[in-house]
Amino acid sequence: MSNARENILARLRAARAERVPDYIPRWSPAHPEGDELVALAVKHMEATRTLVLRVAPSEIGATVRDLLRQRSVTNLLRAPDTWVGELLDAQWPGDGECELLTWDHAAPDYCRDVLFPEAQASITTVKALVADEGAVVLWPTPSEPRTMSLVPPLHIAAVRVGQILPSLAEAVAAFDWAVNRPNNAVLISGPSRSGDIENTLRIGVHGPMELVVLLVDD
Amino acid sequence: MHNADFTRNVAKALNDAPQRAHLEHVITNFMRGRRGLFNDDEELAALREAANAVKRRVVGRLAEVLERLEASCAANGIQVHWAETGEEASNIVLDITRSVGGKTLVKSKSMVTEEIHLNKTLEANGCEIRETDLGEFIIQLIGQTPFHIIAPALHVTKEQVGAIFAEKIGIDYTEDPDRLQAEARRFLRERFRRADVGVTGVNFAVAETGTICVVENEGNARMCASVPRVHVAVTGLEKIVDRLADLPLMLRMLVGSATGQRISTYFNMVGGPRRPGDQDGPEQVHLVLLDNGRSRMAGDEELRQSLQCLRCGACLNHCPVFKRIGGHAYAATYPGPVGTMVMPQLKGLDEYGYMALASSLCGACGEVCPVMVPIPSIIRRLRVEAHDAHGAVLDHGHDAARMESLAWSLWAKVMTSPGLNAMARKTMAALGGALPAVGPLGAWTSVRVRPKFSSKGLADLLREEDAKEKGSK
Amino acid sequence: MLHFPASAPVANYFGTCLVDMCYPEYGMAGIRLLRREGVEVLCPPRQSCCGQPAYNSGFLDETRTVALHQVKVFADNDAPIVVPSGSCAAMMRYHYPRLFEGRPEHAEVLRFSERVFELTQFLNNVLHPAYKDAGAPIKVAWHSSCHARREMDCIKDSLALLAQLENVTVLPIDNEHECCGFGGTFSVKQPEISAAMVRDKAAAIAKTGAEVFLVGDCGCLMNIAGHLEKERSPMRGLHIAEFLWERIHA
Ligand code: SF4
Repeated sequence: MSNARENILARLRAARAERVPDYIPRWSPAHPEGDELVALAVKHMEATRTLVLRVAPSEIGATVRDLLRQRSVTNLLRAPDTWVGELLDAQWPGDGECELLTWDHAAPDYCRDVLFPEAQASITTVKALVADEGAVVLWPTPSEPRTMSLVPPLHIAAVRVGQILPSLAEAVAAFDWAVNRPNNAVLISGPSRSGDIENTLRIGVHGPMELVVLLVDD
Repeated sequence: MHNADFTRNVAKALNDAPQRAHLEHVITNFMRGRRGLFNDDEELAALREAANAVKRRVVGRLAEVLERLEASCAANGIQVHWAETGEEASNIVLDITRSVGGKTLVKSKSMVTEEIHLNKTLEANGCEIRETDLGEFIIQLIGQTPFHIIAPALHVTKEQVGAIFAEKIGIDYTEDPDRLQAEARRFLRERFRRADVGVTGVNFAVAETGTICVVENEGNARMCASVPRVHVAVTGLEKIVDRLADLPLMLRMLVGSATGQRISTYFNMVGGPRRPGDQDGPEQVHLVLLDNGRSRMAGDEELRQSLQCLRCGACLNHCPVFKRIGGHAYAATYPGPVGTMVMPQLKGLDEYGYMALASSLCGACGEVCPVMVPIPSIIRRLRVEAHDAHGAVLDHGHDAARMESLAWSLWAKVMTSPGLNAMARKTMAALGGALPAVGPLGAWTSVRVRPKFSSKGLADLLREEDAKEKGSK
Repeated sequence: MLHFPASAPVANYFGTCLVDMCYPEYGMAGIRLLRREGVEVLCPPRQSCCGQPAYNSGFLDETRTVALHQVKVFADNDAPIVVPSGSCAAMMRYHYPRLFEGRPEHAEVLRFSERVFELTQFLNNVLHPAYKDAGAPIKVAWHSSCHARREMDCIKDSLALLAQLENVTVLPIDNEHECCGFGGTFSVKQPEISAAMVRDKAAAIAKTGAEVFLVGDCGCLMNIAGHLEKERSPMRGLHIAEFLWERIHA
């Protein structure tokens, strides 16, 4: 097996090009600011069938509650130690109509045992929202693991308006991404979709059937 | 396969009118989508230049870039494996599966695992591997190969999906696409949950940071890379970008050229296995680097450009030949222009030489390729290699003895001797309809009238006109 | 990208083998259009073929032999070389230099290639003709040859000349960007695919309701018109040079 490596590399060393471009032209997508930036982000996210709701921090609880009620969703996974988790917990009515779930770190396999069979919705924070692509950027953490935004049929992404960046290119620079290297990151532009049955677009094949972006004023 | 078999496949495909109509409809939508996103010619030209430079820089110095990738992956805890052949790569995946005592795998859409026939190897060794991309899932149930590199089940009707689901996953027959999709979701979720190993392809591996990037719309690749205990990513060794900063451009070019989306629904960036405290994610991440003929391509300045390919499928969508015969007639893992370009290089001209003839060299593919691969030039080169004893492609010179060489040397004689040239024309003009319609003329006249040769050439007409002018003066 | 001469008192004419074999009158129309603008046209009789058929079949030595023959034939002056075919012009302008890369003839070939222009491109950018349409109102369909479009980039020039004819309406063809299926030897090496392509192209042209269809390349013309004739369609095809000449002399 280790021979494969040496053989391949030997062939490739012998194959090195005499000239390669030493200059890569930079690509910089549009770079709007302020309201224009927000408008672009909203436009691009809505174009991929994402529901975008702009709310004040004080309205989060009620807004989420309405969203869930309209969809007859009876539980919501959130991380209590994130900014949105804290706001939700503070604003959540104690009527028991919709249960707030917490990822149980002590459980042997919360993902397989609880998340898959039970969780109907989740709300997570994001690292950023990139406007040119129209996607939220997630760097999963121990409190908001990878599958939290993937498995429940409804995913709500809570974005502070100040987290909107013009593009992925700017996010790579802003987070010094090449140095900080998360072990997992994902860009999400909308609900899970497929065109594989007769090539007509259908929503909700493997991932969430619905993506809601809560755009929260700073 | 031989050209005769190809001809048979072509005839079959051409006679399948519903399939042709459907294919045309789908690729027209793909083309429209691409054009909608890249609607500014000048900007598109600049983007292609930039993307071309990114890839040329990589494929021109693959050894360095791969070593850098390997080191970055190691630093991230990603285990890198090297495979010279498809068989080796498949066995690596099998060994990894066995090493964790696993038996069940879930796989997201990946052309390279088709190239190495991964499923066959795993199934032959007692493993169950489940395709999870909806299109691939359908194809796997039917027992076919992908029809299009980004739309594998393009040719399957909803009735066929309903029938195969009823037969193979035990649901009541339905042809309601929403219900079919929901059934697939239900069926596959259980597989994700139970699988030991998740297999994905790779769209970009970033050498600088050791990041494995996977583009997808369904979420199944995310499942494969997040839920099972082991994630194995398999990639051709050319699918690399140097720097993380190159990614946004390459992502836009890939997705935009494929479907016209600004970005795929999900863009997964796997930077390693789970870390202490992580609540999910694979305990092991493996990256299998596949050669399978690629290092051979890298050795030739012209052919090397084939390695810039992003597998976006735009060349298929714009190809007038693909549009008419579809993906299966080629009988190759990669169909269409990209397949015509790479299959003979990967597997040799003996087996795939016929593909090089399946192009009118109209240039549509090269015009849309996001990384400016000169596909027509490379196809033409393969035609040279077919009879070139000193070529670079596997099985070069396999067709050296054919009559065609003789014909072209005769042609060159005629075309360099004005007397012969004029004589040829006059002979053809005189024979005219008397020539038997066999061989090339037979092929031509199957749908066209015979060429009408002129007894007078351009020089004759010019002389007559000048004489007339002089006379009238 | 192309450098056009500011004027051209003299121009060479490369008629192409297909014109010489089957369509010499269309070649003459091109010569007349050039002469009309006061150009002295040189048409060396030893010229033959650009070499593309062998080139696209993968026979490079034979192609070089024939290519070099053309280079020599036009070596006695420096005047531009005008070609009534986008495909042959592209072969001579863009593919010849590649064919001779690293060979002793390269510099000579390059000098030749830089002189090559497609006919309508040369007319529109160098000679700036003014055409007065003398014909009755007519609808035409325009077919772009692939290499005229993608390599010589001269479709805009062909259309600009047609646009000068006030009684001529140019109708768009469905899938106008698509190859007609000629492709030189492709048409006989993959006859079934080629047939499917030309059928669709001819149908798209017929669907426009035009009276004639125009092309700038006799390869496409022979293919499409040959099919229409076989199908007994009343639709005629014409080379643009012939059409222009007829319109201004009707
Ligand atoms: S050759 Fe170019 S157009 Fe074709 S699949 Fe590859 S990147 Fe896309």
